[in-house]
Amino acid sequence: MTRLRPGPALVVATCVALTLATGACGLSDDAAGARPDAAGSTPTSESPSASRSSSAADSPEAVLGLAGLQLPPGAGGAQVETRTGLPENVEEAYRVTFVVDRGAALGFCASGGLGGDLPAVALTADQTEALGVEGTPAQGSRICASQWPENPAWQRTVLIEPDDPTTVHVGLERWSR
Amino acid sequence: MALVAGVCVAAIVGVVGVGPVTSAIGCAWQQVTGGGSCTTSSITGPVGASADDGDRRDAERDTRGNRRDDARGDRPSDEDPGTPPEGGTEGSDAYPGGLGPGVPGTTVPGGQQPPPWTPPDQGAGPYAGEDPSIRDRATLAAAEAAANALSGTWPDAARNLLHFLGNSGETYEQDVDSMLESSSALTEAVDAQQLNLAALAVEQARAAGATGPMTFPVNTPWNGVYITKDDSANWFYALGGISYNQTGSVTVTPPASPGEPWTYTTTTQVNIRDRYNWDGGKSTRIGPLTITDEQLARLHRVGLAQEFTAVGTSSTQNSSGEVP
Repeated sequence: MTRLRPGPALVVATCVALTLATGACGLSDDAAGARPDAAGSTPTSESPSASRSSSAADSPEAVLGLAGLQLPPGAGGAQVETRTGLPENVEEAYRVTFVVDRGAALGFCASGGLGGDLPAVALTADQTEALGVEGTPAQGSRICASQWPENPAWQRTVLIEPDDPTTVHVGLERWSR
Repeated sequence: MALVAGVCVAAIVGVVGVGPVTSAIGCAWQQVTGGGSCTTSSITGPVGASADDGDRRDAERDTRGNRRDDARGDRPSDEDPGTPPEGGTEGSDAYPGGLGPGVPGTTVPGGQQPPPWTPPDQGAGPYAGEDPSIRDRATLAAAEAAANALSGTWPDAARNLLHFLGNSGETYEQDVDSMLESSSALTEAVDAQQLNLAALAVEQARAAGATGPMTFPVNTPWNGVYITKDDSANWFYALGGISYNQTGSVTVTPPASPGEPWTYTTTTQVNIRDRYNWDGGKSTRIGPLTITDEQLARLHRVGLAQEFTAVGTSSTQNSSGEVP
């Protein structure tokens, strides 16, 4: 892995270049007049943000709808968890779980541009975090995942457990970029 | 000393947005705030003056040298009836589960194109809809100088910023091999996807009663991966979050003896997409000053810089293993 860090000389050179290019302090007034921030509470790239969602009380149907998905017919026991303490790039995130017969669960993976299911042999760390699951998926588990084609800011990850009826875990994240 | 520090802060603050859509100059600012090394510098005019001229030429060369995507057809065209949304790219639909119909043997016709791609947002607003001010031109000059100064440290971050400032708006090719080499997040995502594709291929080959190698074309949906600063600072500042997909093929072979595992070989390319813009809406307060992505976003709106679509395809990635 390549990880580059600027040395002091580089920073100095940058300052020199910037200062000369802008005429020394010529831009300080610009900056002072820039768009006001949120009274110091604006997130930065250095600080993870708390969930800013106003949808915490929304129904599973509504939350799934945010990311272009629909609760399958016959689904029961649907629950929503609104994630907090999100990574810097995630604007809002939810976990939805529900129970449904296996055929409907697999049909869910073929809906909303999710792209269809495949065996869940491997999950990434980001996927396990999005789903709120731990460990290796049980044999027979299925996965599907994709960005919402109509709005790729939404990343959707679905894990279907092996049983029938089965529990379906849905991780939804809206990325800032 | 305080004056020197103030000069550096003012210069950087004038052009930097700090947030998920942060540039190489943002990196410089964070280094300055974190390490305070800027306060010890001695600013000497002649060095910067000559460097500035050269930097501008660098930016121009950078822009001229990257027109290949137009020829490839990725750049949207108003005349094309099948034109994707602004900044989007055309392509072929992904296969269900990422896997197309299998054929006996070890090869399938290649040339799969990744699925159509739509940018996640509308960016900073209409291009060149407002008139530039002197301040905007100063911001442009400072950003160019900073990007060039940091090009040795974060080459792709600087390169992308320079392309933005180069104002062509042309689709811009990214070095996906470098991304794969630098970002464990992307590598992990690609590797996991390959394992799952191999398992699906074995499943389908078994169902088809395959007695010899069977090969399936691969074209997966777009998925997201976020390259953090810790993962790869260069690519964090260059792109951050990207869409990726894999195209290619996977060949699976039944075991020679019952009870042994199937084996697989994947031969894929990793494709990426991203829209380079400054619409993060983030800001950082430094002392009495506030800096925002807005300052660079404005360069797009006043026509001094232009958002673009970042695209890229890796070299062929081969992997092999066993599927239980």
